[in-house]
Amino acid sequence: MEDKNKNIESLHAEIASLREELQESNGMINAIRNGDIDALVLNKNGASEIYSLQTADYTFRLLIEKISQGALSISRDGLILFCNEHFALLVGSSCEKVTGNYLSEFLSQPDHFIQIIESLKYGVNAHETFFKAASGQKIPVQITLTDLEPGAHGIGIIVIDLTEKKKHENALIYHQKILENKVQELNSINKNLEEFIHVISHDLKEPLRKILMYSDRINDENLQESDAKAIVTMKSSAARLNSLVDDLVSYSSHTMKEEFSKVNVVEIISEVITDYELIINDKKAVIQVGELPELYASKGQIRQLFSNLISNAIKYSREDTTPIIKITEVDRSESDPKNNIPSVKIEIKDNGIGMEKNHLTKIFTIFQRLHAKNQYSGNGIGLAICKKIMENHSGYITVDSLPNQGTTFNLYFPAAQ
Amino acid sequence: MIKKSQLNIIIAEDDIDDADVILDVFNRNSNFENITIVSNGEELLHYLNDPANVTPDIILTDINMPIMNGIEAIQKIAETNSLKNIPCFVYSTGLNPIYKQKCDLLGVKACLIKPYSISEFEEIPNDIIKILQS
Repeated sequence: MEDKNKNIESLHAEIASLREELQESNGMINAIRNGDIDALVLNKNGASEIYSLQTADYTFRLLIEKISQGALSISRDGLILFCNEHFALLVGSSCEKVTGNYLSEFLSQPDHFIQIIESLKYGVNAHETFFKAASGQKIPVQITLTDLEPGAHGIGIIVIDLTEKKKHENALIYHQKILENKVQELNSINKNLEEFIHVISHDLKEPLRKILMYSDRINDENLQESDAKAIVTMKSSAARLNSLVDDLVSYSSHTMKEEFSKVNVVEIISEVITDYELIINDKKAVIQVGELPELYASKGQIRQLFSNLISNAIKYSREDTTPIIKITEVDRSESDPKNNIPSVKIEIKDNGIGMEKNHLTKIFTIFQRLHAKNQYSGNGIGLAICKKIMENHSGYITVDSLPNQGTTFNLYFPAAQ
Repeated sequence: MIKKSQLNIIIAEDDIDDADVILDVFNRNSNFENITIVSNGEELLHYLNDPANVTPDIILTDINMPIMNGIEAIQKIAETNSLKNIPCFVYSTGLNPIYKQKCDLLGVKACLIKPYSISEFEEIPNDIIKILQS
């Protein structure tokens, strides 16, 4: 009887223990079903062993598996519980080999792991570091950590391979360096060129000055008429050569970029008009200046630009017609036809002698003249300087002209940003 | 300050033709008594630093000269206490703006352009006196 009771008692105990085991298993199954557990880590003879389980949420798992960034989940002490294929590929291994290792083993500097985990406490979850591939290669990466508590124990990590980005960054830095060197080279060439022009101008002008000075000393009263004429021609040629050298220096000095400031164009034009007061009155020229925009430009060069264009318009006027020069801003909505960027267009329109169409391309070239020297004065440098000035301002100049009708110069400045 | 009609001037000029003209022009001007010509900046400094020579009232120098140019010479003069108060004038064929800037910095009284005719050369002595008196 006693035996029987003991038997019942032990059976009860067994039932209780089995029930407990069943409850535990049910709890585990529920946890798996809820996605609370990704994997089981079992301690076997002191070594960790991982048992991955397929979670209920297949879509998310697939996303993580197939995403083209490395994805990991680790325990707090850095043991890799899960890794996707991309990460395995990145470090040159397989998922099976990666899981179960410590993350620090893949870091180029293993102790960096402690910093990364510690800084997570302070909310810093993104780091740039280096991974070490199986081949020994260092891989620059950005890692982003997400604490998975309380949903799950552990930390999720997204690993972005920065190799390509770094490569581009380095290429950019490299090209930037090359560009900087080129700019430096250009600056020094420009400086040399400027010095060269000054030296040349000095050395060319020195003998010219003497030719002029000493030919002045020749007393032509004792000379035959033909000799006196020869001397006059030599003198005027020397004077002309001298002015060409001056113009060459002036042209080269306008190739320089000067400091920019806000420039009131109307004010500058009225200054230029004052300069030419005598000849304007003499020719009874009318200069109409409309409303003009403020430019961000080199004041000296803009003055030179309008000075050259206005003096040209007066010089090449028709004798039987009152010279009328109109300077206006053309509709701003029209964008620059050449570069197709928003631009400011200023028009200088005259009613002068105009030019043949086939001459128009020549007029901006240095020392190009369309008329005999005795007909109109000048060395043919004014418009070459205008072209240079427009280029210095990242703009350009064009011309429209009809013989005996007039000429229009169009100035395109890039619109202020 | 400067007594007229007894002025001593030293001129640095490497070009023989210009030296001839400028010497002639100053000799004919009654305000100048002693006119000394040297042919470069180094000779100019030697002359000025030699205690046997009378310190001139005025220095006139060309810019482009061999061995030591006019600007370098004026720089040295400006650094020498016993010389820095002598009024300096510069003249040259066409003036490089960089030189002009340096001259202004060094306290040069005026930068003159070498004339294209003898008659303009004649004006240089009087121009210098006018600038000193103003």
